[in-house]
Amino acid sequence: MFDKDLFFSLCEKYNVELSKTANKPMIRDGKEVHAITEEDINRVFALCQVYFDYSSNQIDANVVSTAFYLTEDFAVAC
Amino acid sequence: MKEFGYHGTCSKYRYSIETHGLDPDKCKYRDDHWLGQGVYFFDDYDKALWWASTISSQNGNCGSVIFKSVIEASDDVVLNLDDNSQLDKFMTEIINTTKEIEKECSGKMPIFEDKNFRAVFFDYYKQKNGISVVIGTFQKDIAGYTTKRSFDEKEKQKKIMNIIGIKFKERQICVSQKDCIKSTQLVYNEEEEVI
Repeated sequence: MFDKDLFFSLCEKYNVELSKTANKPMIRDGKEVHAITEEDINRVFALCQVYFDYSSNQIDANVVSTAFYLTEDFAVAC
Repeated sequence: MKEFGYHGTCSKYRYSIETHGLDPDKCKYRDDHWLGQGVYFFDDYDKALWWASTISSQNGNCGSVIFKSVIEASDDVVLNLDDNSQLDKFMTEIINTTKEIEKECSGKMPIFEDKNFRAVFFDYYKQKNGISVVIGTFQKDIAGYTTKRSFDEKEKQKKIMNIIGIKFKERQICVSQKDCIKSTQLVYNEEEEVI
């Protein structure tokens, strides 16, 4: 059973934007916002080729641009 | 499970950790936590050393430290994403949760970004299912602790790894309950290293 209180408390902790008008859970992919698909879920939770450039605190779970390979400060969240 | 974990960090946290132990409740909520909220360990000392050096360099070269702990938990509170059946169950529940959100959150529908989507769902799953430890192995085609290569060599390496489908692996353990972290001891302190 869905735990609404838990879910919203986590949304608050992680600064998740809440919409009064959207009718499905959404995800921001670059500049575009769309309803979450199974493809989004597979992409976000993939354990392959996920990079976190710690120096700029940016996370890019999409295909990494070649610019990322110029630095060696890669990490996976720790 | 019962295994050693290595937590690498910068020396400014040393005294806090030595005083209070590695405590997940004291960790800040960060949306870049790949396995949700908790204390992160490598199962490999060298990777923890590399990570600690990276953290140190991002904190004014304050020096790196590594703590070694025993991570102990019963199997029913461990989510091992390296086990295909557990990964499959996890993915099924995430998908079902998004459907429940659609039904239950009208008027307050979340708009996620990749990073907080991951964090929220991992923490939601952990808390709802009583999970204290999450294990996952990440893969990279470039890693800072391997042979130094030129840009061109890295590009070749990346292509080769994508062709053969085998990459460097980093097994990480995220512990969200302090009771599962035992016998923590300092095993490396850069400040005491004699050059």
